[in-house]
Amino acid sequence: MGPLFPEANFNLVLALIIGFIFGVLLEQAGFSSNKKLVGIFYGYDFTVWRVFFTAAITAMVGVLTLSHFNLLDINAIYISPMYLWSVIAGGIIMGFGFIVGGYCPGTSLCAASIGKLDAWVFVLGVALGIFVFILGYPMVEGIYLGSFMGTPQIFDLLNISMGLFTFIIVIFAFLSYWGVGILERKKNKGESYELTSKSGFFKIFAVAVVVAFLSLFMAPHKQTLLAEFNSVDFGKDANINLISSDEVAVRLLKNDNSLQFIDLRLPNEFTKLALPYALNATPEDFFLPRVSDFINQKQKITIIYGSDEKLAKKVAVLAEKIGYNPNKILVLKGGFDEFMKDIINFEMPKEQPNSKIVQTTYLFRHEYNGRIKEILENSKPKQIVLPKSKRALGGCG
Amino acid sequence: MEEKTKYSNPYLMGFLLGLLIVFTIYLNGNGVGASGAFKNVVVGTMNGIAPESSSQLQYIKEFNASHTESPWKGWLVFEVIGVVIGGFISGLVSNRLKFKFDKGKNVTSKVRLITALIGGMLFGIGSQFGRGCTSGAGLDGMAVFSVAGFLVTMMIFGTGFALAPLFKKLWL
Repeated sequence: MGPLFPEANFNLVLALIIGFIFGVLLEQAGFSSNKKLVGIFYGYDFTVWRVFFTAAITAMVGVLTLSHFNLLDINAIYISPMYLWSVIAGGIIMGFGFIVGGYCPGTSLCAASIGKLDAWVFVLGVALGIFVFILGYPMVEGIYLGSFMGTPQIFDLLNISMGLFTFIIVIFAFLSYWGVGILERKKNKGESYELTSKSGFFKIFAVAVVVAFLSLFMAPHKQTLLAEFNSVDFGKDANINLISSDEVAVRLLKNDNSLQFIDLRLPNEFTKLALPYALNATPEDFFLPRVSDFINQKQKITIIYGSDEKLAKKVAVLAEKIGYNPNKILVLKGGFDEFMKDIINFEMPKEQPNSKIVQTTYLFRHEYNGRIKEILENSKPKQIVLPKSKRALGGCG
Repeated sequence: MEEKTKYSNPYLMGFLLGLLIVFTIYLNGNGVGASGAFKNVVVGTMNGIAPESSSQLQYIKEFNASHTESPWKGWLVFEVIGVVIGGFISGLVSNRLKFKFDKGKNVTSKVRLITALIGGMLFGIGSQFGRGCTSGAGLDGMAVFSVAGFLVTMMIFGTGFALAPLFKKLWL
C-alpha cells in the first residue's frame, strides 16, 4: 500500500524522471511563456486555469480512487499543515510576485530552460527571496508558526464526504471551463484558447460526469471499514474463536510462548494491570504496522481482549476484514473483567459444586490465582510506548 | 491569436500532470514541487560558504533538525534538475529554444529584469510563509484535499487578479 517510500529521500533517479515529465508537461502546456501565464489575470488566456484545475481534479479523483481500493493510505501521505495567517500572507506575497514577475518558481525553471533570460533573473530572485526570509526569520517567526490549525481537509471543513466533494469540484471545473471560454472570446474578439472542438469537449465532459458520479460511491477503504465497525450490528452473527480465562491461566502457568495479547482498554486501565506483555491498542491501530507487525509474527496466536468481550469480538471481525489471518486471532471470553473475577480475585464458593469438572476448576483457581497474579504483576507494563508517526515527511516549504 | 495551436491541449496536459502527481504521491507521499528545491539549494549554499554563521540562524537550525541528509541530496533538487532537462527537451522538440527577454511590448529589458527579480524575490519569500509555491503547496495541497492547499491557491490567484489592473503596463 502506498506511499511506498514515506521517507522524504527516495530514489533520486526516479526523482529526476518525475521532474523531467513535470518539465515537459509545463513547457508543452505553454507555461514557459509569461504572457500565457499572466493571461489569466487579464482574461485573455485561461490556459493556466484549464491546466491547473484539470490537474487538480485528476489528482483528487486519483487519490480518492487509490484510497478507496486500499492502495494508498490516506493517513500516511503529506497533508500541508494549516498555519492560517502564514498561508494567507504567503499566498498574497506570491500573488504579488506572480503579477509582477510573470512566473512562479516551477514555470520560471521551465522558461529558463528554453532560454528566457528574464526567467533566469526570476530564478535568481526566488533564491534571493528565500535567503532574505532566512535572515529575517526571527522577525516573522510568530506569523510563520502561529495560528496552527492542524492538517484539515476541505471535505471535513464543509462536513461532506470526500466523494461528494470530488463530485462537486469535478462538475464545477467543467462548468468553469465553459465560462472561461466565454470570457476569452469576449476579450479576444470571438477567439478563444479552447483548443478542443465542441464535440471533443462534450466527450471529455461526458467522461468527467461519469467519473464524478462514480466518485460519489467511493471513500477511503479505512474510513469505510471504520464506519461499518462503528455501526451497532457490526459482526453480530460472526463466528469468533473464544478462549476461556481458565485456559489462558493454564497456559500462562505453563509459560506458553505461542500466546500474545492485545489489550483494547484505555491506557490508564492498561497500566494498572494487564495480561503479560500485552500491546495496548485501539481498533484504528489495526490498520497500522504497530499492530500488524505484532500479529503477523510467526508461530504466535494473538488473544484480543477488552473489559468485556463485546468490543474484542467486533475488533476480531474488523481484523479479518482488514486482511489478518483469522486463525491467528482469539478473543478472551468475558474479557479482562471476567479474568479478574474468575482467576485473580477468585473466592471459593461456600456451597459444594454439583459436578466434578466445576470442582476441579475451582480447586485449580484457588490453588494458582496467587501465582497468576504474580505473573501479571511482574510483567506489568511500565509505560506505553507511543507509536511513531508514519506520515510522509516533506512538503515543499 | 496566431500562436494558439503551438501548445498542447490544456486538458490533456492537466490530466497528465494530475496523473503524475498521483503517481508521485503514491511513491513518496508528496506531490511534485519547486520552491522546496530552491530552499534546499539556498540552505546548501549557505552551509557550504559559511557553515558556522549559517548554523546559528534559527530557520536553518529548524531545517537541519528536520533533514538528516545534506540539502543537496533532497529529492526535490533532483526533481527540478529533471524539470530543467524536461523543459529544454520540450522546447527543443517544439522549436522554442531561443535566448530572449519575454516581456510586454511597452516594457524595456531593464524594467523587465527588475520586475523579474522583484517578482522572484516575492515568490521566494511568499513560498516560505505558504510552505510551498503554486505547485508544492497549491496543486499538491488540492490533490490531497488540504484546506491549506485550496486557501493558498485562492490567495495567489486572487491577489493576482486584484493587482492586475495596477500592473497592466507590464504586460499589455
